Amino acid sequence: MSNALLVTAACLALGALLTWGAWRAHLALSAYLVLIVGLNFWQVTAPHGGANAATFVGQEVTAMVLRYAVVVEALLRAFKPLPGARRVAAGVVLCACLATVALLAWGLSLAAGPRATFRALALANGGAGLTLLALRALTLHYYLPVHPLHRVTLTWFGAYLVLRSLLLGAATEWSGTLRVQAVTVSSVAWAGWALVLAWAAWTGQRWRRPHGIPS
Amino acid sequence: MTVALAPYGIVASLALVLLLPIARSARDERARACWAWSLPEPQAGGLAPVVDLATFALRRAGVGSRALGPVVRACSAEITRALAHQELWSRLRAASGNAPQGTRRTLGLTAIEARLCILSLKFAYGIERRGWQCVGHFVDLRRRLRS
Repeated sequence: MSNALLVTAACLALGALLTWGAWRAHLALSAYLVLIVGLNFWQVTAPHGGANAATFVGQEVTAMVLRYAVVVEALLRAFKPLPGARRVAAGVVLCACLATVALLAWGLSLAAGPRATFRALALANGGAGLTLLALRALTLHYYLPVHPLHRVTLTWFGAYLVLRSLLLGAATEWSGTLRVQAVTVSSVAWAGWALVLAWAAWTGQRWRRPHGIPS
Repeated sequence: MTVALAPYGIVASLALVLLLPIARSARDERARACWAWSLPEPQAGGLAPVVDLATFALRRAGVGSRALGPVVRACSAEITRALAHQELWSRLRAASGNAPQGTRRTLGLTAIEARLCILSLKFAYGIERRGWQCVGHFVDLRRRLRS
């Protein structure tokens, strides 16, 4: 059920991005959505649902690479008009990455064993989310008007990743019904974010660059 | 168990610290951006430099020489009118409270330059462009003018 909700929302967002050509404004995000849809279809069609720990970790690591690609692309595109602010933002992203590595090291030292991998994934999610939120705060600090798609990514995707980090952490530490509930809430949150993205891509058509305007 | 959960607590706390000001500021973001790019203010040295800049912007935007004169005159007239309405200008400044200067300061623009940039693009393309595109356009123009 949560899988279907997640895929439906992702397909809506992808459809909106492709319909209006808005995918060009955020290539990494579009690739991330394609990956999520593909992985979920594969999970449904694969034997035994493709649901085991090794597969999950593989998917998460792949998605994590694309999440950080989203962070870098959002940084480069949102701060493109202001080179000075972009240098500051790049410094913030670098510091956030270093802080994430430190957090990972600390978190892993607190919980060794089979749960360590999941804990690392949860904290890496949190690091990516916090980086996006920090970039959003910087755009506000510089009074930088941001493209609607980048605004959604920086705010809503950042908030989603932080929430996912906490839920993944909860699912790692808890068991039974609570774990299932955490996964369900995470899927609902993902669907909510994807619907906000779809709405922004659909209504953002009026921001499309008319023919002839240089980029 | 409690110590093991501490990293998640840090993530949640940092997120709250970032989300609260974002939620508070984002509400007025659109209005603030509008103020930042539309406030005219008097500039020493007259309008000649900015009219030249507008000419450059319009030429680059593909506006033909024949159409250029009236468009630039229209831009200049609108700015002159805006400057003449000191009372309106004062009211705009008062209404905006702390007039946002961050973006302009970063670029080293005067408000009138930013205003002219918007006007040029508006005339050239027949539509009101979003602020962020104007900024990108203007930075490029300044770079070309200085080189």
